[in-house]
Amino acid sequence: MRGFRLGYLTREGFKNIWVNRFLSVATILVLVACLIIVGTGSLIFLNINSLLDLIEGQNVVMVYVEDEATDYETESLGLQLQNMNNIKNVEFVPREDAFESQKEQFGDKAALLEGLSPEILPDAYKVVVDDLSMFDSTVKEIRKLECVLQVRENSDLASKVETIRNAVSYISLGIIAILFFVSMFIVSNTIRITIYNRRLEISIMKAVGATNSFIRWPFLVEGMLLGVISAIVSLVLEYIVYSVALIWFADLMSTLGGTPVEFLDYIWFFLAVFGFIGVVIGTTGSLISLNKYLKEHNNVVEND
Amino acid sequence: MIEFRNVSKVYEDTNTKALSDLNIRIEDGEFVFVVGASGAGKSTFLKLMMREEVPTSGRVNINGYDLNSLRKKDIPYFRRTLGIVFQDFRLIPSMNVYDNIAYAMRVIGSREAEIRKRVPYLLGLVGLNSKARSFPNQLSGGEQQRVALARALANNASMIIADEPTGNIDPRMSYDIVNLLNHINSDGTTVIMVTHDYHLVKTFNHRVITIQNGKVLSDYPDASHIDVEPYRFDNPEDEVGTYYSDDTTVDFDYLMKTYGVETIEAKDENPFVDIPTEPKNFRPTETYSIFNEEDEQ
Repeated sequence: MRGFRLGYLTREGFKNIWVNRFLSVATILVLVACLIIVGTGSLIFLNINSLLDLIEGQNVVMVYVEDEATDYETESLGLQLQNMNNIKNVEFVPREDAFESQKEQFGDKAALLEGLSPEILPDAYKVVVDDLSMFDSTVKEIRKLECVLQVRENSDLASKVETIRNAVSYISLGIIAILFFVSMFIVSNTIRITIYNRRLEISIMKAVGATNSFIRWPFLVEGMLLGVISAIVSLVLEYIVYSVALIWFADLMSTLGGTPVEFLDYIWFFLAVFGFIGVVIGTTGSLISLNKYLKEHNNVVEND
Repeated sequence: MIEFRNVSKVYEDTNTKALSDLNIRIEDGEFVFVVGASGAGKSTFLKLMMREEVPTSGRVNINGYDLNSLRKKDIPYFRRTLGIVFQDFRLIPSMNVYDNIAYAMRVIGSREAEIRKRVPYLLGLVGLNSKARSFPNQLSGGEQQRVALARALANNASMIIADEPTGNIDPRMSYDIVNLLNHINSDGTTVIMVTHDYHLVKTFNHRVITIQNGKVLSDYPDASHIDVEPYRFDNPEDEVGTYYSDDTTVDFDYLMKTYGVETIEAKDENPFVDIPTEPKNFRPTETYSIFNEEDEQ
């Protein structure tokens, strides 16, 4: 298609949105509703995820070093831990610090520790595992290392966190996928009404010798533009909805020891996701309806 | 050139035989009236010409295109060799007169510079220069049909197919529209016009093909066999003309159709009914010249 023709057809697509403004608004409303549901689902997922990160962060493996280990061996163990796969973070906890920490935990009863020295405790490494699905195998690897006195871990918590995270991911993805197709169906039907409203125009196009691609292009541009407009409107509305929801939601999160995710931290992510979904649904919905219409009406130029 | 050879068309969904062994040949540059009662097969004839339908048997060749074997993707290119005019004008209501005509050119990818040159010429040709910015709902039926005609001419089609172009307009305007088609034909464009208006057929006196029951009932080189009076206007240049017809009958079926009544249940064997013989006053909505200076050159 020649450039100037493409330009004309693109302008037509823009113009059509205004000419058919009532149906355009209807399409935008449907798309916005779907995008807000998708966005809200994503925000719930992000918040659950952040909570899980918090819990996961607490799921630390303590690796105690044998008393007989020299400083060199202790340091070497630390390096080996750091070089292992699936390790997010390794932090050395000297016995002195551990002793102080114990004293703090004892509080009023710290006097019980009087007369004892930090020597009663081993040096330790605080290890955070990266992927919890490989938690057991990672712990097994740690146990095999030299100078390891004992490994204290909570594989039960790790597996629970992992199960919840997977469940939340799959449910969110499932809901988003279902909503995606539902939106596409609704949008394609709304656009179908637009096409039906403009059947005179299409029949004239056919009568004067328009190719199917010429007929499709303005509808495609229109669908794409409706998607972009819907994405921007959804982003603003989602921000407002989330800000209002936070008034109640923030308390619940702080009770659980976490803080809600900031919408503005994810604004580009949401703009990209809304834009992508809006444009894909808008154009695909438009094409589905138009192709169906063109197939049904085939070469008809005199349809009423 | 149009050639229908032993063409039959059966609509399988309703098992209706619309055309039966139809043979028609129309040479380039001819002006042909196609007449016939409702249901005679005229619409199917037009649909085959526009490649909206394909024949069940027989061959159709138009403007060098074999419509039986024409691929779907080539249909638009074939249609660009035709200019189609409909009874209901089919103008896009949201576009003004200029854009309605330009639209046909944009569809085939004409450059804006070319459009800016051609559309005013066409508007002059149909006498609507002053209405370029008007919208279809601001125009009379006759004016709308002239816009439709200008659109049909926009791409220099070698053939105009007019499907009852005067069906929705008054006699004076009808006369002017056919006069315009006549003028276009004199420049070498083939014109095929389906009509019910025997007065027009008689007035312009071109080849007349009558279709009945899906067959060619008669094919006359002129309208001398038609027994109605031609239209006469006492002074076509007057702003207020007086329309005369000595004929005392009118096609009742057609008349009712113009008022939106599609079928008439009970009617006489004779489809014509008497009407008063008094002249009817005719007042055009505006004075215009059918052919402007540019066109005369």
